[in-house]
Amino acid sequence: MFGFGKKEEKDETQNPEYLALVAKWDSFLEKIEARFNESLAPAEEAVLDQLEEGNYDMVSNMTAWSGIKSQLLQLEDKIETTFDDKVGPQMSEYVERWNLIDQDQKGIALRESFRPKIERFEIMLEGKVAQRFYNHAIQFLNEDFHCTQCSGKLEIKKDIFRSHYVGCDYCNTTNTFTPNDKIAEIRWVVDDIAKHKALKEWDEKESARKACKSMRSLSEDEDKTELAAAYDTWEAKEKAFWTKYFTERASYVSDYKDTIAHDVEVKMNWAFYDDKKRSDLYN
Amino acid sequence: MEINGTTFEDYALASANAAAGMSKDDIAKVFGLELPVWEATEQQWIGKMSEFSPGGPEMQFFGEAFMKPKQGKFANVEAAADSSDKILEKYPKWSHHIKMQQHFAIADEVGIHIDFQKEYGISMTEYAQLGMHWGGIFREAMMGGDNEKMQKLSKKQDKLMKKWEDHFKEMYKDQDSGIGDDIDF
Repeated sequence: MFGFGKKEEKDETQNPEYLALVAKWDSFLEKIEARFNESLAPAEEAVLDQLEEGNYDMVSNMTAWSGIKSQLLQLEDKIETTFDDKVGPQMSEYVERWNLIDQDQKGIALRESFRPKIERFEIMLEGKVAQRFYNHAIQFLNEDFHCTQCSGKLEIKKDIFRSHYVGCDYCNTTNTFTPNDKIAEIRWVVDDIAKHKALKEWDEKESARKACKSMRSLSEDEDKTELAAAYDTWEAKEKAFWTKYFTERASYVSDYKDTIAHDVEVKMNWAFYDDKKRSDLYN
Repeated sequence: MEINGTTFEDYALASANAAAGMSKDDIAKVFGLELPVWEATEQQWIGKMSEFSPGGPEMQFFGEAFMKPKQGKFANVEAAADSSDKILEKYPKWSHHIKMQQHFAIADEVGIHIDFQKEYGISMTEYAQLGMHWGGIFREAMMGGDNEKMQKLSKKQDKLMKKWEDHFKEMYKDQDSGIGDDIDF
């Protein structure tokens, strides 16, 4: 009657065969999520093992992580192509396209959950790798270094990982200490150690940022008190993160000690104030 | 602004030449500084660089320094890197650069690091020069509003990217086992 198709004559979303497909799709997504979660621990182990096996070569170590990361991200594609090529077409035999939106959404939600998890995992992993590298490389500074003039033992600074002058306490000769490549590399890995140590603050600033960005957009004449409060919270958390990060970094490399406040200010400009300036607070 | 007698331009050229393989000792000599002083200076410039905006004149020059590392205080330095003309003689085609890009990206996906010096006999500075050369041609067409040229370039780029992506995916297919291959709907 009235020319309606078969799909609209009765509620096919309750059809047992359709429901079986929904259950199969749910089970598929559960398996993918479980595989993602259970892959993180072996990934960490593999990358940390590779560091020692690869003689603390940070470039090949990070490439190894990059390979694992791309495998984890392939799960995103797998969800998308499975829905497009199999789930969607099979379900369409029972229901209309708009009934598939909820099913597609389940896959999208799972896909979108992967990157933030990887980002956080990466901070932890790179922090651990960097700490191991540091523990290895810093030992080279425990070796004895001697004055070129009188052979007296030199006291090398353990928080400057570049060439520097070292005065001899015995004969006052100024020596030049040139670190080996591993020692020089410490300067770069401390960034990852510092970020890992500021993970609690990173979590807090991320959740404050998300809370702020998830607020609905406001027109000129709407009350902006709540939005302003959300920006205030984000500002405080963002600042706390960068302060912790730069303070930790300076505890390893003394070159950075005098610039903490300035470095925080620079980061706050691009990580927070640029966004705030463009927000609905000023429209 | 100067730090220990060096300008930001000096620092940018030093970075370009260092990436091309020039030693820190040789770079320090160009500025007439001892190595510890140069390394302390370099450290300060690294900190300063975070203040410059990405599209600003300083960062623009930083990019240009890689295209022409033999200028300024490095103009007459024998060990300084050549300008982009030299590497374009060796790798004149756009396909060469896209091949290198895809090689690096696909190998990276399977956890293999590509050493450009070993694989293609070029330094990071030379690789960057190729990228800036072809990027510049693309940008020029875009700025000039030549839609037909833009379309042609985009089409060619897509074709070359696909060609080399397929090539390297095939090359590394044995290393590329997906962690979810056994899960099926």
